[in-house]
Formats: sequence, structure tokens, C-alpha cells
Amino acid sequence: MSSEHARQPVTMREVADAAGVSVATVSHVVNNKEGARIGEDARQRVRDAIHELGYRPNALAKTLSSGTSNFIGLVADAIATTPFAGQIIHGAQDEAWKHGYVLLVANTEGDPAAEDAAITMMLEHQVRGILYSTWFHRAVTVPEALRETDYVLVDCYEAGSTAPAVVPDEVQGGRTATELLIQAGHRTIAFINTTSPSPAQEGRLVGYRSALEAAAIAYDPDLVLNAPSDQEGGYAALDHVLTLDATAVFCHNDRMAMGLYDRAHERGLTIPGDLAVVGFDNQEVIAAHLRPPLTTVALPHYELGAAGIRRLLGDPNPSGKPILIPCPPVIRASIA
Amino acid sequence: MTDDADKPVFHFTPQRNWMNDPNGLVYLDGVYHLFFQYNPDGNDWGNMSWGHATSTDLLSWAEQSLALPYTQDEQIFSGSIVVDHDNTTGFGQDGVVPLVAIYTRVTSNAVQAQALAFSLDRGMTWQKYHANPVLDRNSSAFRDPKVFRAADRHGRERWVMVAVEAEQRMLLVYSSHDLIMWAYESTFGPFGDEGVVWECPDLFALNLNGDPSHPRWVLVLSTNKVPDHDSAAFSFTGHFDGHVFVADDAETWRPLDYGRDFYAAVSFANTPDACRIILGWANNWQYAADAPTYPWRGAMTLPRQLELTETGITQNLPAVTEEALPAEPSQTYQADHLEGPVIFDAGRHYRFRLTCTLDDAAEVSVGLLSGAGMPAAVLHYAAGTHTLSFERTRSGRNEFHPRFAEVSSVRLPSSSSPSPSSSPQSLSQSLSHRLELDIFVDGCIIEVFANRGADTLTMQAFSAPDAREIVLSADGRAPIRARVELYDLTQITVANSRMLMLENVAGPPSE
Repeated sequence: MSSEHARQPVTMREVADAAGVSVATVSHVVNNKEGARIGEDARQRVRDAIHELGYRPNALAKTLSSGTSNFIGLVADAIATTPFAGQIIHGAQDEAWKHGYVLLVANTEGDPAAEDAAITMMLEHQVRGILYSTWFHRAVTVPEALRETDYVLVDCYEAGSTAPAVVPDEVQGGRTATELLIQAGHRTIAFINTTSPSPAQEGRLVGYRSALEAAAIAYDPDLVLNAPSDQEGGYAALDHVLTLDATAVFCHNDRMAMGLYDRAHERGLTIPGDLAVVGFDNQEVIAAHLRPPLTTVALPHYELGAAGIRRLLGDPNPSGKPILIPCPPVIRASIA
Repeated sequence: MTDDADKPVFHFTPQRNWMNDPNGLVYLDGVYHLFFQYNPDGNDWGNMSWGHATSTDLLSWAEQSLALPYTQDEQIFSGSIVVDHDNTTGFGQDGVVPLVAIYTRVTSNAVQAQALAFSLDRGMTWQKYHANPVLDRNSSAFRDPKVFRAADRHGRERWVMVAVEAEQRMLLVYSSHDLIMWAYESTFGPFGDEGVVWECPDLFALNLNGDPSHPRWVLVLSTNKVPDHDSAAFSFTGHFDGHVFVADDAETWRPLDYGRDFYAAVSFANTPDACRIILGWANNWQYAADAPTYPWRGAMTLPRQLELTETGITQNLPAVTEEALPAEPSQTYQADHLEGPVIFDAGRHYRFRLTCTLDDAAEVSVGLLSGAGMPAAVLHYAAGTHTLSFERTRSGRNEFHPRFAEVSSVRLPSSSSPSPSSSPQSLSQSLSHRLELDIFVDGCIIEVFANRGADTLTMQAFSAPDAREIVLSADGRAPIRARVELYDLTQITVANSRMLMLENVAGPPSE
């Protein structure tokens, strides 16, 4: 997708750079888009640049009278190459298809240049809009090029802005995980949170505390640990958990629960008889295959993708805040 | 688990080829025998023969060799089997009690008449009676004989046969002392819609509330609409004096099952404690020939023990089957205020027991065989209207026939305990509805027993092989208290079939 190869066709981005305008402006000029407020001076610079560079507008796009194609773009940092967030693509694709759109997917590994090239190319294809997604829930800065079309942030958000976004409901997820343990009769529930600051770290703790409060269980800060969010973190945390007389533990994610299982087995403890465990993420390759299979809370990746498309295609969201997608519990066999 | 994700493990399916009606259901010496309409040569209807399978718990089945193969001159249509304890036929030899099959033979001139075959080795091999047929009306639609013992007006027991003139919508009753010479007794029908064929009748007594001093008679009848071939099974309660059946209300066709895949159900003969156990073909003629399975096609339902109460017939698993199922759930879940969705990683072979108390305004749904958020089948209950509906329209392989994806529904009048008053109630008091769903999912077969068998619903659903989730959900607007028990049955028949093989070692005496 790089423009360094001489044989590659001239892109709309190159025209925009040469003319000193945005890609959207080039697009509007090329397509004679009605209602575009573009000064005659800019319009002329674009025409000159097109002539000089030999830019040939995309034939497919040019034939479209509507001004947009039946494509929706999805730019992802790493969701195609991480094990469990690929369902974002699946959900977006199914939902786009239902509305008569085809998804164009670009996985950029978070490289800004690749991201910019992908967005530009999508604009050239006159996509109906673009979903910009990340493989874990985090804050992002919206790339400038994205503002030239309709877009929705998926599994990410821009801090302090009204940029349209759909994200998992971490608070509800944390509450749900804790409620599963409370419903099973547990009162002393440890929470092994992550050491990495993130919406998940904050939100799941808020959810944990609100579930305790609703059940009239006093919050004990000693029951909340922080550990690296991987197997080693969970493994190392178990010994400490056992000193707290907890009968149940909520792990920030399934990988930590996996490590916790290992240490529990080493110490001859039975799950869920000696210790009830709930995870988070529903990372299928882990949760479904631990013994016993891990009860967890799912990150709703499929639904995030689908909801992103619905938001893009006009689902209203008057609040201006990110749309929260519920994280459903996935019942297996690690709670008794 | 097999590679074939649709194939049931605790419902009977043949290893290969086409199967329809259950035939010759009989219990003998600890073994339940299932014979069935079978095409030994392909997985479309044709070359009709009787296949054979055995079970000790009606859950794990061992397929046996072909029992009654078709010949050039004769196809073997549906029928029944009796244990001729008193050797009334004379087929028994050296004190061996014969099993006698009474089946419809169809000859090349298209005449359907009733014929006999017998087995002296507990159903493993069969000989046809040399003077077949034994009952011939020179009809092209006289079929599906079901034979049982019943006393005449003078209290003398003899054989009684019910069979149908399918296209004339008539049930014919005959009697015999030896299964060979038959005397006409009576006709029930015709009534109901024209353009319907009647098939696979069964007639038996059920004691009201289990009280032997209050026997009632139940006629079970399957009907198939023409030309669209929509299939269903019905029951009529009434009175039978050994000669004539009189229905309490012949205009009330009470479905035996509210799904779309329950047909040709008949009962086992010779069961212990005279319990009445039926099973049917979990299919519908409308689309059976297009069902997307290979190399097998067709499955039987679970066995259901029938009991009669004032509110109707209940259908539950027989004790022998219940005992073979795990007592301890593999997963449990409860919620004081269910909000959806809750996902259960359930696999494709399981029992899902859901008990809810609900507010009047509550609705709850259970998505089955769900993958990527898309269930192949959805059960939905609306407390306000007591309506349980079932749809398989949302996903899965439902496009092989245009009418497969239709919605079925049933009103569950027995689901509501009466409210103490009609005045406004507090939240806890308003949880006046109780709903119990006992759901069996087995590959492509879904069977629902609602409110302890007061109503049942059987449906096929063909889903993606990785569709293994249950999605339980409520809209959260009205309170629902829910309790779930999930039992993994993926391995159930592996363990049980070992037992079955041991049982069969003690088997046939005549080898």
C-alpha cells in the first residue's frame, strides 16, 4: 500500500499532498460532489495536481452516481492477528452485509503510515464510512484522515471528545462477574486486577465494588490485588489470595485465571470446591479448555463490530458518549 | 462427539440411510426393541423394510441387522409387534414364546394388506407367515396396524387391531383370537378436514391420575395434510368397550406435541408395570426428504411416558431413561433478576433445565445452538399470553426447504398459578408465573418438555458445527427469577452402550 513504487498508480493522497488540500477535497472535486463547499482556487489546484501526476480516478467509484460505494471500511490495529478480537470483523461483516454493504478490512499493526494509506485508499473507494478499531479497549487519537468521512471508533474512544464510539461496558462486566460469585453464596471475594492502567482496570473494579454494595457486602481494599495481566500474574497471585480467606476470586482476565488454576492445582486445591473462579474476556482457547472449564464474562467483540456498523449507518446516539455494549456472562463450571 | 455435528448421540438414528416411522415397539426380557421404516439402499424414502435397534434405557441404541427386508414383490410398511405369550398363533416352538409382527405389506399391484412375520429369537431373525396376507380389503391405503390385547363385552381377552383407511380418514377396529383370522368390529371417522391422510393409529388405556379404577382410553393418530404434507400427531381421549371407540370430543384435535417434528408416534407393547411409553419420528413429511444430513436421514424422538390428569396428557421421560441420565448438573446458574444475555458454553448434546418465576409482563428467550451470537433456534416465552413459541428463522441451515423456517407456538395454560387477587401487587407477589422448561438438545434435534411434560415441543434445527452456545435472555424490564441446570450429555451413550453390550451377551437363546 506504500506509494514508493513507481509502477503503482497515483493515489488520491498524493494529489491531495501536491495540491495542499485534504483527501476529501480531492474526492469531492473528482466526483463533482454536490454541496461540497470548495473554493475555485482549491478546485483548480486539485485539477492541476491531477494533471501533473497523471492521477486516474478509480473507475468503479466514478461510475457510481450516488457518490458513495457499497463498501464500508474497517481499519484495525491488530484484530486480524490477535486470537479473540477477530469477532469484531465477523460482527461488522454480518451487519454490513445485512444492509447491503461489503466490508473492506485493513489490518495495520498500529503503524501510522499504513493506517493513513489504508484510510486514504478507502476514501478513494468512496466508502460509506469507516470503522476504526483496536484489539483491546483503550483511548486513541482519531487520525486526521478519518475525519474526512463518517467514522465510528470500535473498542476504543477518544478521551474528552464526542467522536462516535462503541466500547464494552467494563463496569457492568465487572459487576456481572462479581454477581455470579455472590449468587453462588460467596461473601469473601478477591479481585485480582491488572497493573496496567486501562478502562478495563478502572471499570471492572467499579463493577466489582457496585456488586458488593448491592449485596450489602462491605468493600475490603485488601481483597483487591494488582498483578500483571498474564498467566504469571495469576499464578503468583494465588498464594496471596489464600492468605485472605477468600472463597472466590474474580480474575481480571482469563489468562490470569489460567495461571491461578496452575498454582491451585500445585497446591492441591480443587476448583470450584475449594475456590470458585471467574475470569473475563471469554478467550475461547483458554476458558473452554481449562479443567474445569472457566466461567467468565465475554468481551462482546461480535456485537461491538455489529453495533459499530449500526451506529455508522444511522443508529442515533444523542448522549454523545461512547455506546456501551454489555459483557454477558458465559457459564461454565468454575463456580460452585 | 462425532465429526457429524448434526448427528444425535442419545436419539436413535440409523448409521446410514433413510428412516421414518417407528414400528413394532416392544419390550422383552429387559430390552426395548425399536423397529423402523427403513431404506437399506439409500437415504431417500423407498425399498421400505424394517430396520431394528435395541436399548435397555431408551437412550443408548444399538443398531441391529435388518429385520424385515423388502423383496421384489413386497414392501414392508408400518406395523406393530406383540409378544404372543399364549402362542395363540402356533408360531411358538418348544416352549419359545414367539414375537409376532403385524405389518402392512404392499404388493406390486399397490394393494395394502396386513401380514404377519414371527421371530423365535427375541427379534433378531424373522420368518414371514406362509399364508400372508391375513387381512385384505383390496384397498390401496389400508395400513399401519397396531395390535394389543383387550377384553370383549363379556370380559374375554383377545387381540384387537386398529388400522387406518388413510385417505378415507377412518380408523378400523378388528378383533382376532389368533392374529390370523380377523373380524370387523367398528369404524371411527371420517371427520375433520378433507385432504388429510390418517396414519399410525394407537389405542390404549391410561388411568386417570394413575387410579386403576378410572381407566380412560386414548387414541393417538398422526395426520398428514395433502398436498403440502404438513405432519402432526394428535390425541383423543374417550371410551373403548373392546369393540367401539367413542371420543369425548371428536372435533378437538389435541396435538401431542407442538413442534413441527413429531410424527407417527406409537407406544411400546409389553412394558413393565404396564407403563405407556411412546416415541415418534422427529420429522415432518413436508421437508423430510430434503433434510440436510448424510449418510443418515431421520431420527426418533426421546421416549415419553404418558400419564393422564384432568388437564390432559403429560409426557415425561420414563424412569428407566431418567435413571440413565446424570443426576448432577455439570453447570448451574441462578439469577434473582435475570437480564440478558447469559451465555452457556453447552456444546451440542445436553439437557438444559430452566426454572423461572416471572412477572406478568416478563418475556424470556432461550437461543439454542448459537454461534457468533446467532442461534439456530430460539424458544421465546411471553408470560402475559402464556405463549411459548419456537422459531428457527434466524440462522443455521434453514434454507433447504421454503417452509422449514416457520414459527411454531403453544399457549401453556398450565403454566400460571392463579393470582390471589387482581389488585395491584408488590414486586415479589407479582412473580405469579412459573415456567419450567426441560430442554434436550442433541445435534439437530431439540425437544422441549414444558411444565413437567404438560406440553412438549420437538423441532429439528441444523446449525453450524461450532454453534455450541445457549443464550438465555430477558429484556430486564420485568423481573424474572431464574435457575438453570445444565447437564452435558456428549458422552452419555458411550458409557451406557457398554452396559448395553453386556446385556446383550446374555441375549438370544437360539444361536
